Amino acid sequence: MTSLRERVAIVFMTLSAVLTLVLGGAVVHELGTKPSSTVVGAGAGGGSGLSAPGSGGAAPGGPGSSGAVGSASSGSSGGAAAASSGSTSPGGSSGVGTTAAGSLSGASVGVTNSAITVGGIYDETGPFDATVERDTVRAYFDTVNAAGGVNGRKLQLLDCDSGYDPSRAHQCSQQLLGQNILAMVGWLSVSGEEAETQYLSQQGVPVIGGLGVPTEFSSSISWPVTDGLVTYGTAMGDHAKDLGIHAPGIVILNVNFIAPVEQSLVTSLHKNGIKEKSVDQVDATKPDYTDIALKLQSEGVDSVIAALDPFSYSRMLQAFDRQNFHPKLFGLGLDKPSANQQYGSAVYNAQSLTPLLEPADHMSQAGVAAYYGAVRKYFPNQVAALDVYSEGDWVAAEVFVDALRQIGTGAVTRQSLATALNSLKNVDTQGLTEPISYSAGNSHDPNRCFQWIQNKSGTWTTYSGWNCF
Amino acid sequence: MILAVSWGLIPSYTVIGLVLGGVYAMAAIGLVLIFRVSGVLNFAHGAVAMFATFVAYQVSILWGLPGWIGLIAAMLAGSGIGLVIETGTMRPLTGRPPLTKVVVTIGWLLGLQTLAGLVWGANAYHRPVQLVSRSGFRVPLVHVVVGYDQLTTFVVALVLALATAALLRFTTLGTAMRAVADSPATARLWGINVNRVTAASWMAGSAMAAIAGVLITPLISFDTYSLTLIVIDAFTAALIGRLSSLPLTVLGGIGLGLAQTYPRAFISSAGVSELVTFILVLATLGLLFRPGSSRVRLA
Amino acid sequence: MTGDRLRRAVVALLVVVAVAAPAATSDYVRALSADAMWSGLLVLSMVVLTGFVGQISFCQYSFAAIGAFTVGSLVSGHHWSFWLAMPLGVAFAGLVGVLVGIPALRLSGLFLAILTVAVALFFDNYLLAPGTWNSFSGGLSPWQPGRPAFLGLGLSGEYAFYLFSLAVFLVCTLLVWDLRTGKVGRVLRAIRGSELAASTMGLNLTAWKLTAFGLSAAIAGLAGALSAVRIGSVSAPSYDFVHSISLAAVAIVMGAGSVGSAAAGGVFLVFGRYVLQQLSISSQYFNLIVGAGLVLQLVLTPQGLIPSMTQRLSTRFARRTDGLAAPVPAEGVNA
Repeated sequence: MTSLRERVAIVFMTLSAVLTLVLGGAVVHELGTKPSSTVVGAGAGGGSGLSAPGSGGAAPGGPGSSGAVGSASSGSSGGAAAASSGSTSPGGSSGVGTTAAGSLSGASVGVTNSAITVGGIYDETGPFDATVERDTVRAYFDTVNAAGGVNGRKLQLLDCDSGYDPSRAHQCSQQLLGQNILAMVGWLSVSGEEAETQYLSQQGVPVIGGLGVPTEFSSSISWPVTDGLVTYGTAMGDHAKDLGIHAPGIVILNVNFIAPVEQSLVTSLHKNGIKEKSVDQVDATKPDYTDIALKLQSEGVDSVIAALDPFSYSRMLQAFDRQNFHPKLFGLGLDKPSANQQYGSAVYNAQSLTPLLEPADHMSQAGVAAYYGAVRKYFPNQVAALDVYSEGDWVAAEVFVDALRQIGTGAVTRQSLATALNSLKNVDTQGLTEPISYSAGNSHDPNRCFQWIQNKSGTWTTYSGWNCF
Repeated sequence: MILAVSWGLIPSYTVIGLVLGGVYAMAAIGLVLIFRVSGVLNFAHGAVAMFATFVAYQVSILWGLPGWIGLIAAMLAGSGIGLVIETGTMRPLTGRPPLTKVVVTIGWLLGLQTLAGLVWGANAYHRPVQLVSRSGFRVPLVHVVVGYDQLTTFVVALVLALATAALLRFTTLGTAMRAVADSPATARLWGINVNRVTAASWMAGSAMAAIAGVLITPLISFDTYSLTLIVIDAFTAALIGRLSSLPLTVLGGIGLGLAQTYPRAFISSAGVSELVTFILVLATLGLLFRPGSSRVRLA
Repeated sequence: MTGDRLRRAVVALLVVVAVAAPAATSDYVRALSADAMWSGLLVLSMVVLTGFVGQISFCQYSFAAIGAFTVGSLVSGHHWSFWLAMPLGVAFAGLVGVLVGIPALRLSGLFLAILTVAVALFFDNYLLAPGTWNSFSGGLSPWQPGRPAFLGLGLSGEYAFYLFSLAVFLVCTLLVWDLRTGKVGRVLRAIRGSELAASTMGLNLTAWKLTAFGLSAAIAGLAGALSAVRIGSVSAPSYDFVHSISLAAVAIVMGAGSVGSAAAGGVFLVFGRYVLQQLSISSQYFNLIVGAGLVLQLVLTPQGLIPSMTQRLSTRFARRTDGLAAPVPAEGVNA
């Protein structure tokens, strides 16, 4: 005997079930069509036609456009500040259109009489450990603070762990903004930099330094200090010819900004008459590379061009070693000392490139000595983990402080910081890079130069000057 | 998405699958022993293995002592944790439903994983303890090289299974364990110290987890979660072994390893091995645990 | 004042505080408060499952992910309205919940727990992994849905969105409480008491159990949909297995049989981490505290913190052990 309430419930449930089925069909159909929104971070077309699916993932699918901040539109995004998708132009420039920046605050955010607070998002837990980047920035700040700070103000870095999760990176942005940071300085979040650069720009927060993801080169208030990863692609494709590479297999990490990087690498290889055998995108958590080794062996590659994180290289080299597969290796970010302990002899004769001076054979150089000295003094157990990314963040901290000194005794605000950064010309980073200059404009790309390095029986040595692209 | 694979790669993938299967089998043996004797499905089994491996890491990598000392330290740590879990948190819950005890092990999983992350860093940047050399030999007729460390894992898994089976059948302690597994009340009537036997099973099972952890980590990623989550593959292997038969557990582990590896030869999509695992879990749960079957009694 | 009237007064007071307090805090704390609301909904979904049918689930975040990704992909990728995508997400989650419930009918509590673990890992490693279903999971990039407007009022402001989340949370809590104390609750308690007896009384166990699973998953899906627009970024690692474990632990510690623990659990999950952060303690300690707390609680106070507390309080006043925070023994776990 069903009561009235139960009858209502049954009718309601039946109606919902029917509606669900109908709308569910519509949803599945809709999901099958390409999303009409703009693409975050991936160049137009995503370069997906070029990548043969490797183990670990297919080409990135359709991400979403940024929700328009502050708009009261009902649910649909794509407000005025959304990034427009640009086509990847040949020549290596970043393939994303510019992000419209929010207005910069003229108030003293994150600045008190005694302290200046900046923030950084780092992948501290998960497959990566970016605490060394965080500690490098802190070491620089500690050095400056020990000498009295900047105009009597001590520098402070607030960090937040994004844990290789883009959504956590976004929450970190919200948290750091809630903690009133002046700017984002010297961050390293592989998962979050791409999307958060756009978000922070829309919020009017200056971003200094970072990994070199494409969106950092398309915002008027982002000041990267090293080469963009897209430029890496161009450079590597070019240098591959000099290394005598003819039939490479490409192995890259499937991060959310990899598409334009892959595209620039492949385009550059083709321009140099090199046709790659295959492109494999792998997950950062991939534990065993035996299948990659077998695949590359069966394809008959003579070399491997790779863009992985330091410890993925370790697992890849282990698998190669075990299968007695020793192709020429040309990879970015291969010179991390703590990772090299794991590579063993498998990395001998490998080739790499660096956008900053290689510390291994320049230990007595002034800039390197200052950098290593500071980290050794304040964070001694991070010294073995120093790598090209932490060196980049050291330079970012330097650039930030130079801009602060430029402001002098004036009010320190986001606006004055941006103006000061744009006025920096030929900043001498103590020789760690070519001199850095910025100017006001839609984007900044100060450093397009690399030095080639090579592993000789366990030691990384530089064998060229600056090659600029 | 479907690779045009040369069928010549199949034997290579078989070897890869067998190695993976050995890993799962080794992880499952201690689990089955603990379950048989104490009736608790230890969700924290992988976490204990992970923690013990980090102890080995501390001893052998950070302090530079030889690898075998690290292994012994790991086994001591593992059995110590097993003892604490049993006496401290299982024994006070005697008489409560099995699900309660399982939830306690979940708490241990969380705690151990986080503690390891706090002490040694919750990232993948650790150098594993390489007890056996990574170099290997080329398996005749196929293209794949099997590392001595991979072979050792496989062989040790078989040896541990046999040893445990022998322990249960031929020793006094083993007989006592089987008695407690059948009925703790009756065992008590026979004068068996049920508490001590249960604790022994936890210690032995956790020590085996420690061995598994130290041998497995060079083959996978050495971080706080990979080994912790291997427990679900171990469960699947154990379920195939009906949670009681050690030989079947080993076979189940090997079967799972092969089932996860073969699809990767044909389909390049990354998650396909996970799909296979899920289907196998459903199948084993569905087929082996029908209501009315004696297994349901245990829970 | 009778215990019941006191309880109602306390609840009313708490609601007033909940509405008014965040007005005096920063935007960030308001955002966290909204997080506490959908976290509370997740705990509520566990209460439905544990309190009604005595089962534990370790895949609630996977159901939340269904809601979150439906909203993310439709609102952000295809410009649908949130008000259409959200109910769909809830319905899908409920449907999947029922699907998971089907094998659960034949499995006892222990093996159901294993099944839910397998479901959670299946979602993590296959369904939401890049490459499998990129148009749903977004592949490697997060979905970034924007905030909707509710009856003309924009919900982009943190306080406005918080009030909306609070309203949703209160409505759901009321619904669950009403079910608990009404006929449905009695039916389900009968089932939990003795399935054999219940079935001899002519109760359709299958339908009731599946409904409980579906409802639990639907509430979790709703929580996911809310989280998607609160955070504004949807990616798979935020809904993974470890989150589900942590949620289950907090729900059990608070008392998974009691509806009042939903609010407490939600607040604890969000502000526990916030407090650690304010004290400059790594937020990694949070899971350690939760794990240790779970172990200690199960060994020491089986019913859960909230029911024990309210029981102790209500022994001071007149007793009526039915209602909001009454501990209904969840036989599967806390007996």
